[in-house]
Amino acid sequence: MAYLRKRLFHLIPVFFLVTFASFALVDLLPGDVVDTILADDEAADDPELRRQIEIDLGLDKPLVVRYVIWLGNLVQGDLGRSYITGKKISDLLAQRIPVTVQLMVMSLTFALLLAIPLGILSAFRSNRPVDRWISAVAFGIVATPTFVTAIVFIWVFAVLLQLLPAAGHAPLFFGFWENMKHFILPMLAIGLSEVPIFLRVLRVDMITTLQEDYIALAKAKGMSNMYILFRHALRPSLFTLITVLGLQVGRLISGLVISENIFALPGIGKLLIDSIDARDVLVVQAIVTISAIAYVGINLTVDILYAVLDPRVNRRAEGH
Amino acid sequence: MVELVRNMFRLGWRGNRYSHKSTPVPWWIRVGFVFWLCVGWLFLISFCAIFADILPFDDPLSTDLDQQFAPILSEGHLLGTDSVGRDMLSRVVYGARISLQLAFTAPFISLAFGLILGMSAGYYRGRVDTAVSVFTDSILAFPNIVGVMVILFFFGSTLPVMIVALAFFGIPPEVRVARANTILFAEREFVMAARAQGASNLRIMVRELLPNVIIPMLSLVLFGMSIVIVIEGALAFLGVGFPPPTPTWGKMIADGFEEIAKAPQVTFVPAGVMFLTILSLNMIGDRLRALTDVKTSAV
Repeated sequence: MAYLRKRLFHLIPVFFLVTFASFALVDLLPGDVVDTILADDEAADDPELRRQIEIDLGLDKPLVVRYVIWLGNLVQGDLGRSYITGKKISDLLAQRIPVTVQLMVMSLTFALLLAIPLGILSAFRSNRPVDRWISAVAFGIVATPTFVTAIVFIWVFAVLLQLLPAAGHAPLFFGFWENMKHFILPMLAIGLSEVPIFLRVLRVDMITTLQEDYIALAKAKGMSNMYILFRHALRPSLFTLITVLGLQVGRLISGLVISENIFALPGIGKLLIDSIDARDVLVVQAIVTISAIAYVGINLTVDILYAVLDPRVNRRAEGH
Repeated sequence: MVELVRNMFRLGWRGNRYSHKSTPVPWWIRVGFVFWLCVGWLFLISFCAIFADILPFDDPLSTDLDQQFAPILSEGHLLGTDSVGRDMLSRVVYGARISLQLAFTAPFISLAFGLILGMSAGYYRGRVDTAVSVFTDSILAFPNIVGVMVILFFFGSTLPVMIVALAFFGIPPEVRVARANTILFAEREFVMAARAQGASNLRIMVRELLPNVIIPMLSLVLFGMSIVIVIEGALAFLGVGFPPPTPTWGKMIADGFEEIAKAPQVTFVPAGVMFLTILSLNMIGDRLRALTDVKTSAV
């Protein structure tokens, strides 16, 4: 458990730093906090409301005290209230999270389903034509921003072929296919932009694994290539991929924000842009906080998974 | 010239990354023909962007409602016109100005801070290392597009704010590479020799380590440039970038996207220019990394 303890001690200060940074954003702004929160709303002149906000946020207290109170509320799931729409922010987020999580899970699954077989193939045939072609296509995908990929997919599948809807969302009670139809293009756009990174990481590790003695032994025993690749070589080659998976969550969230806005899916990313347009400071702050916490949480999960899957990391951590 | 052509045939036009196995070839041939195509493209774009006011381009903002959606290669408009008849070529060139201004500033600021933090972390290790890694991991917790977007929202969409924001979120990868290379070189004999001669820590870092650490980081700067261009494009596309009427590639793509069914070229011209620019930067970065890779150049 030495490894996990080390990681946990590292992630705790990270957690406090990111939450503090998100919290302090509103205070760093030039001008009065209340003015900022109310933006250009006509309610900004209402002294009653201004006093209410000052009491709600405890603006008479110092920054650090307010941070502790805010964090305490946050942990209990209370993110305060948007003064622009008057709704509870936690309710707003709760409505949006399912769409975002569904899109995230679908895109990751798609990316892995494409990247793992291609990565194995690339490593198995390294520096042969197949590998070169896969690398070249991956290079091209890396150079295409997610929003351009999304546009190309919309143009091909929604405009030219008219197979899938270009935008919109259908909740699950409209039927499974109706719901899925709106997710396929955003899934392809986000998933495809993740593929090259996963592919490259897996390919490098797999090439190293394939040079191990036990692979030569398995070959000598006459096992089939498929069996060796998937049963012997894949698992020990997955560890860097798992770490990268955690680190890529940030990129993934960026992709979600872009895709949700292009495809008009009502998720967190759409809410973020809508809130920026409405100058709803507290909602923007809440979304930034939540996504940073999600990043830290997912990376902690990855670390735990890592320690469980690979007994070697603990020995290595104790050795140092 | 004959030698160049012969070498190109021998090595293939993609260049040869494994040249240490064959006879020595000068690096400018080793990088391959595609590398020089990419350099040429970047020079072309930069040249047009820098001298846009002198060169005979149309006004990127002047509209001409008789000339809506002119196709590519039409008379007077090499790349066609957009929905209100503005010349696409001049808009692409003026859009390049924004992208290049960001690309030639933010990654270098990231590089400077990344070097300071990464080299300190790799040289002193211990507490300094822990503090730096907490700092960089905290930056990574904010997805870069979301981070830049929020900073622009809070501090205003101006060029200096955007440069600072992009530079800030570009720090973590620079730190990682600077740290790893510092650790690698700090163990080497020439560093020991300097220390034995009584050189101070600062002197060792600046005089002995910096020249070795900075070379592998130059390719990272090129990747940083392409990331900066992508982020600017995405923000402009989402409508949270610079305020109108500044033409940027992202905004041109967004404008064209509304009419994609009618005139796809209005979207795909700026998208293609952006694609080629990012591809060139990545390709040059990739080749430079292959040339400067510590593992392949004999340690």
